Amino acid sequence: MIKILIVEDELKISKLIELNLTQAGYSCTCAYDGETAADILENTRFDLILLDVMLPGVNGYELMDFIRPLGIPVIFLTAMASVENRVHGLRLGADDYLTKPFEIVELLARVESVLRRYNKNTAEIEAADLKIDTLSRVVSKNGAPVSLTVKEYELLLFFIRNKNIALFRDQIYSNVWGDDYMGDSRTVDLHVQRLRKKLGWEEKITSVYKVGYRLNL
Amino acid sequence: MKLFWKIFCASVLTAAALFSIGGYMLIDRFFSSALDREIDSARDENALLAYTVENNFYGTYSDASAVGFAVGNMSIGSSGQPTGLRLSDRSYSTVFTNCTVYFDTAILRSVSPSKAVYRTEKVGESYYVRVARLITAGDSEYYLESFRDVTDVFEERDGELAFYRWLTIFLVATDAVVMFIVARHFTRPITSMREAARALSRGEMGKRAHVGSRPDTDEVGGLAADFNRMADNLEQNIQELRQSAQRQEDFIGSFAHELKTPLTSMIGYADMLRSRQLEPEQTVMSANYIFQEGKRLEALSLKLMDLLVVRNSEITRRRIRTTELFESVVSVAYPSVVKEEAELSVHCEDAIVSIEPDLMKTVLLNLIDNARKAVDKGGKISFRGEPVDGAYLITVTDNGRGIPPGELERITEAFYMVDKSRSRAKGGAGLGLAVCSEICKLHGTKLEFESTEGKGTTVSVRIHEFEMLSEDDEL
Repeated sequence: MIKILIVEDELKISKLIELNLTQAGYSCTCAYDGETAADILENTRFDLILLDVMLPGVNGYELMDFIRPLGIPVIFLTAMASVENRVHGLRLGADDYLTKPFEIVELLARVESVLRRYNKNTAEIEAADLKIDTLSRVVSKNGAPVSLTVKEYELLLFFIRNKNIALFRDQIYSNVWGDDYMGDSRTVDLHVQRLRKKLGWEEKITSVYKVGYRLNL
Repeated sequence: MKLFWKIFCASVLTAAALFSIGGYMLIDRFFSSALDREIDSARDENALLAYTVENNFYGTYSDASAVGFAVGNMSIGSSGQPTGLRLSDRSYSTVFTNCTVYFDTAILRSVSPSKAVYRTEKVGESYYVRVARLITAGDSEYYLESFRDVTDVFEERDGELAFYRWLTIFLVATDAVVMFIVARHFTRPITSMREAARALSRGEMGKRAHVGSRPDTDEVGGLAADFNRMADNLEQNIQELRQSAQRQEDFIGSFAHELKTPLTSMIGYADMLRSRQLEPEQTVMSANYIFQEGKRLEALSLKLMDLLVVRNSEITRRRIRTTELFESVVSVAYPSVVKEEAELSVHCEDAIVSIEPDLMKTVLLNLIDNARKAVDKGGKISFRGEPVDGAYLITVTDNGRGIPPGELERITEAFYMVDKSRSRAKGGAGLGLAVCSEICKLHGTKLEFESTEGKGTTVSVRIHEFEMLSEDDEL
C-alpha cells in the first residue's frame, strides 16, 4: 500500500485530505508541525509527502532541506499562489504544487500524477472484472480485450481513480477533454453510455440525479 | 582628459611659460643697462680722444702720419687698458691702427661732422662697441674710431641665460611635484564621489564618497558631504520603500492565508458532501466544519470592516467616568479570563476621560484578550487605570510569554502575528492590535508596549483628555 505523509497544521484541512486519500486507497499519516514530521520521517519510509508551507516552528521550505536527501516526492500545499512562490517551491525540489482551496478531484489527480512519475503506481490496475495495463493502454475484461477509443479509455481511468465519488459533468468534461465545460452535457453522457455498454458496467456506473455519474466498486 | 591632468598640465605649463618669459626679461634688462653703460663710456672715451687729438698740445700736425703718431701715443686709454683706435682719412684709407682685428669702413659713410656714430658689432667671437667721429687735425679732416671690447657683457648674459634655463627646469619640476600633490588632493574627493556614484547606480547603496577633513570650508569636500547626505536619504527612502513593499506583500500573503484556510475546509468538505456517500456522523462533522469555518470567515470580515471603518472615521468624544468604563470592560472580559483559569486584578482611580467609549472599550477588551492568550493557566493579568504625568494611564499587564524585541514594532500591523506558524490554537487572525492602534490614533494617542520575553508584557494607553473628579461633578 502506498504511504503518504500529510504535514498540515490546520486540523480540519489535514483531516479532509486524510479522509479522501484513505478512501482512494492510500495509507495516510498526519503531522501537525515540522518537527513532528521530521521525527516521523526518521523512522518511517513514505512514498509521498503533502507539505504545507506555513507551519508552526520549522516551515515547509525549511523542512524541504531535510526531506530532499530522502528522495521522497513532495507536493506543496499553500495559500500563496503567486508565481514566485510556486517557482521557489519547485526550485527547492517539490514535485508539484497544490494551491488552497482545492477540489478533491484535483488533489487525487495530483497525487496520482506524481506517484505515476515515480513509478510508484503499478502499471496494471485491476478494478472488478477489468484489467488495465496503463503502459500499453490495453483494457481486458475477464481476459478478453475490450477495444476503447482514446476518450473512452481516459474516461474509464478517471472513473477508476475517483471511484465511489460522484463526479459532476463539468469535472468529467474538464478532466477528460481538458477544456472548460461549456454546458454541453451530451458529449459526456454519450461517452459514458458507450463506455457502460462496452464494459457491461451498466450497474456499476450509476447516474446521480442532477449531478453526473459515479463508479461504484 | 581627466580633471586631474587638466589641472596639473595647465598649472605646470603656465609656470614654465611665466618663469621663462619673466626670467628672460629680467636678464635682458640687466644686459641692456650693462651694454648701455659700456656704450656711454665708449662714447665718452672717444670724445675725450678727439678733443685731445684736435688740440695737440705738443705742436702742429705736419701731415697725416703726424696725426697718426699722436693718436698712437694715446692708445693707452684712461682706464689703463689698451683701447683699439683707427685713424682714417676722408678717402677711408687707414692712416693708423693698433687693432689686430679688421673692421670694415661702412660705418664711416654715415658719420657727419656734427655727429658721432656708434655701433655694437660682432667680429669673430668677440663683441665690440665701435664709435666713429670726424676730427680736424692740422688742415685735414680725419675719421677717428675707437673700439671697446664688450664681449664680457655678452658672455655674462649668455652665462646667466644658461644658468637660468637650469633654474627654470628645476623650478618647473618643483612646481610639477607640488601641483601633482595639490591636484591630487583636490580631485580625490571628486574621484571618490565618482566611484561612489557609480557604485550607487550599480545598486551598492552602502558606498559613500571620501570627505576631506574640513567639508564646511572646502567646496569640493562640501559637495562630497552633500553627495553623501543625498545618498543617505536615497538609501533611507529605498529602505523604506522596500519595507513598505515587504509589508504590503506580507499583508497580501497573510490575507490570502487567512482567507484561504477557512475556504479550503469549506470547499473541501462541501465537495465531499456533494460527491461522496458519507456516514451520518461524517456528514454532520463535515457540515459542522463548514459552519465553523464560515463563522471564522465572518469574524475575519467583520474585523476587516472594523479596520476599514475605523481608518476612515472621526470620533465623537463623550465624557465618561473611568470606573464606569472599567466596569463595562471587566464585565465582558471576566468570563473568558476565568475560563482560562487566569487571574484578573483590577485597579481603577476614578476620573473623567473624554473618549469615544465604544471604541475605547474595543481597545481594552482586545488588550485583555491578548493578555489572556499570552498567559498559561493560572497566569496573572492586571488591569489598571490611574493619572500619571498629566494623562490618564490605562495599563494591561500580564506575566505571559512576552514578545521578542524585534517583533515589537510590527505587532500592530494587520495580520502580523509573532507566532509565524499562525497556529490558531488561541484563535484570532492578527487584526486585533491593528484595529486598536487605529482607534488610539483617532484619540490622538498610541499603544505603548513593554515586553520581556518569557516574563510578560505591559501595554499602556495614555488618554490626555482627562480631569480629576471634583465634588460637584455630576454625570
